[in-house]
Formats: sequence, structure tokens, C-alpha cells
Amino acid sequence: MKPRQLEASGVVKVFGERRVLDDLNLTVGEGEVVAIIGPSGAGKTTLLRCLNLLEIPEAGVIRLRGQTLYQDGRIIAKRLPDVRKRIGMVFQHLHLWPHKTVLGNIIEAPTVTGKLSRAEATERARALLAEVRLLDKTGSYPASLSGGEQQRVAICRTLIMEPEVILLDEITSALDPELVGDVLEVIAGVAERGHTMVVVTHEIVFARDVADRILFLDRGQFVEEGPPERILTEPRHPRTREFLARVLYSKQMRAHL
Amino acid sequence: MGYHWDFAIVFRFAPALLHGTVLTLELTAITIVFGTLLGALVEVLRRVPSRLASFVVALYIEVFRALPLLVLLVWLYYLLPLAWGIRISSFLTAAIAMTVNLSAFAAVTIRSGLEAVPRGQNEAALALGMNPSQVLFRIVLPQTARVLLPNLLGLYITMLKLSSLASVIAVYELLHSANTVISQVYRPLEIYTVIALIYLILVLPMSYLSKRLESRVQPRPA
Repeated sequence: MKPRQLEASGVVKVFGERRVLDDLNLTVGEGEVVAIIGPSGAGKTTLLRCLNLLEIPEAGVIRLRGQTLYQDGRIIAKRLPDVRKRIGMVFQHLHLWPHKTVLGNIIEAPTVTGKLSRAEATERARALLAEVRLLDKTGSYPASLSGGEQQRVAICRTLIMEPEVILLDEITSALDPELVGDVLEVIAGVAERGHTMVVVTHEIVFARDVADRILFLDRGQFVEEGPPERILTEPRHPRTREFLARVLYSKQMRAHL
Repeated sequence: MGYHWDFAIVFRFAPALLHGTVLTLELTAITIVFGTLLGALVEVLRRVPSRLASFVVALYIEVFRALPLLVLLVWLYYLLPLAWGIRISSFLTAAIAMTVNLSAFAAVTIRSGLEAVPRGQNEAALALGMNPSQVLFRIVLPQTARVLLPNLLGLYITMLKLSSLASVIAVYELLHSANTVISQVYRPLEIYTVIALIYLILVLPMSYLSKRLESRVQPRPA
């Protein structure tokens, strides 16, 4: 088995009366890409937010490369910002900073946190922008970009920090359909380079193509997991079957798998 | 028939009125600096995850926004020496009352300014490893300054005007110096006309600045 890059065990997160994450366990190996699918309200986004401690769980353990970050209600890691530098996250709703240019958005975090000098950061940012085919937008403000372009900038903003794990939270679901392809293509490229990734997505076909493993999350727990082909074509758990039947509503879509 | 205006009298008392103007500006300036700082502190306290802290902050804001400044002023004026034996100048008493009053309004203004920036932008910055103060100074404040500054300036203008209330506890600010002059030479119309003009001269540039800042809120960089 590959070394464990990210490990969550027994994670419980409660909002009011609801146990959004209910004794949840997840292990992601080094260089592994896992896709998390599941109905809305299953706890997918909450799980990602707990993994980088934007949300503090009520119980459980979270480890990054063997280092305990969080245990049973207490943050163990000394400096939360240093931990978050190592766990990148791209959000559904883009969240670029509108008062900064594309370049400004990308070099902000590495320069402010002292990771890179301004010159190094600019050089890295330009290389990343070239990869996502946005080099001509370096000086533009986010408001003048399409949603897909903004999301590609957000991906660069995360990649420049060279995180050990990348969390992607339904990064295409706020985009117009015709913009989705470019973003997924970029992510597929990132995955190929051996990054460890946790991908929450509604794009089943994309999950199949990019993930080493698919996990089906429902009511705060992983109900089923396995290789993409197997999960998507022969789901074993009734709730997985029901979910896939609703998502892949047409015969043609199933035929694609 | 008709009032015989005699503005020459004003010039005789120009030094007293000038002194009053300077004191009005001092009182307002002190209030603005400390009231804003205290207001920011109140907003920081509000974010402390404790029910007691948020209750105290909410009470503070509600009470001092509801209490008329004039009442607070005379109350402190008698309370400090009589109840606690604290003897301080009426200038300082006025500065304290105005600072507390402004801080309650400033806290609310600062809160709404900070909340104008979507939470997701803060979280994106936190997720990249920036610490909370970096997020505040690099991401939130630069965006909200264009909303925040005109609103704060509006509060400052109000404080400048309200500083005239300090005259009731014998602070030698502009209105009080005018009243003293009037008690010596019975010329209320001339004197009050002149101090009205002085207030206008002090306030109008601030109003103009506030309008300028507000109009810059509209266009966004594109």
C-alpha cells in the first residue's frame, strides 16, 4: 500500500441537530486521486472543509503525512496557516479577489506568507497561466473573465503553493456547461502529474476518468468505495445504485461508462 | 424698524471665537481617533467565540446608540466626581462621552463594512495559508475601504456637530465661547451667525470629501 498522505478517522461534524459527518473514515495514499460522489446534503463539502480545518469537527482524528493535525475537538498542529499551506483547496464558487489582477490573485498567498519572493512567484505564476492557456489575461481583473477562466486562475492560485494534497469542491458546478470541459482538462493534467487529490464532483464521467478510486458518501458516511469501473457499472449498495440511477438517467449516459 | 447688524463687534472677540474653534477641532479629533479605535476593538470582541462576550458587546452597542449624547454627557459630568470621586476636566469628560458614543456607531459601521466582503473570499485566503490579520489587511480592508471610509466620514461629521453639546458642561468649545461673548455684549444674532458660518466652513469640506469617496465606490476595476 502507498504511504498514507491524508487520513481522517472517526470524524464527526454536527450542525445543530444534524450529524453531517457521522464517524467518517477516509485514507488517501500518496499520489492517489479519489473522487467523492453522493447526493446533495451528504456531507461532501463539509468533509473537505474539515480536512483543511476551515470547519472544526466535533470528534475524530485528521492526519497529514502521519502528522496529527486534529484530534477529538482540539487542533494539534501548532500553526493552522502552515498546515493549510500544505492542503490546497479550490472552491465551487471561485472566490477570486476582485481587487487584484489575475497575477495578483496567484502571487498573493506565496509572497505574503513568505513562501516565494515576488520575482519567483511571478515567474511561477506565468508558467502556470501558460499551462492553463491564460497567459494573455495576466493583467486582467477577475470581473472581466468568464467563469471557466476564473476557475482556472483559482486552480493556479492553489497550485503555486505546491500543496501536498489538493481538495476540489465541485469546482465545475457553478459554471456554464460549455466552460466545464476546459477546467476538467486542466484538473486531469494536474492529476497525471502525481498530485494527491480529493475530488468532490457531480461529473461522473470525469470521476471515472481521473480517479483511482470512487467513494460514495451518503448521510455522513462512506457507503461504498472501489475502482471507478466497478462502482459505476456494478454498484453493490442499494443507495449507490439508486443515486447512480438518478444521476445517469439515460441509457446513453450509462452506455458511455 | 429692522435690526441693526453690527458685525464689527465680532472682530473684537475674534480671539475668543478662534480659541473656541480650535477646541472644537481638538475635541472632535480626539473623539474620532479614539472612538474609531474603540469601535474597532468592540468589533474584534464581537468575534470572540463566547456568548458572554457577544452579549456584552451587543449591550454596549445598543445602550450607547440609544442614549442621547447630551444625556450621557451631563450624566458622566455628575457621575464621575459624585459617585466615584474622579475629578477630571470637563474637556476630558466630553471627550470620553463622545468617544463612547462614536465607538458604538463606528463598531456597527465597521461590521457592515467587513461583512460587505463575501465570506468565501476570506476562506479562500485562509485555505491558502494566510493568517487572519493578513486576510484582514490584504483581502478585506482594501475592498471594503471604499464603502467604509465614506460611512465613517459621515459619523465624523456628526461628531463635529454634536461637539457643540459639550458647551452645556462648560467646555470652551465654539458654541460655549460664543455664549460667553454674547453674555458680555448682547449681540446674539451676529455672534450666532458667525459661528454658524464657522461650523459650515468646518463641515462642508468633510461632506465634499465624503461625496467624492462615495462616487468612487461605484466604478469597479475591469
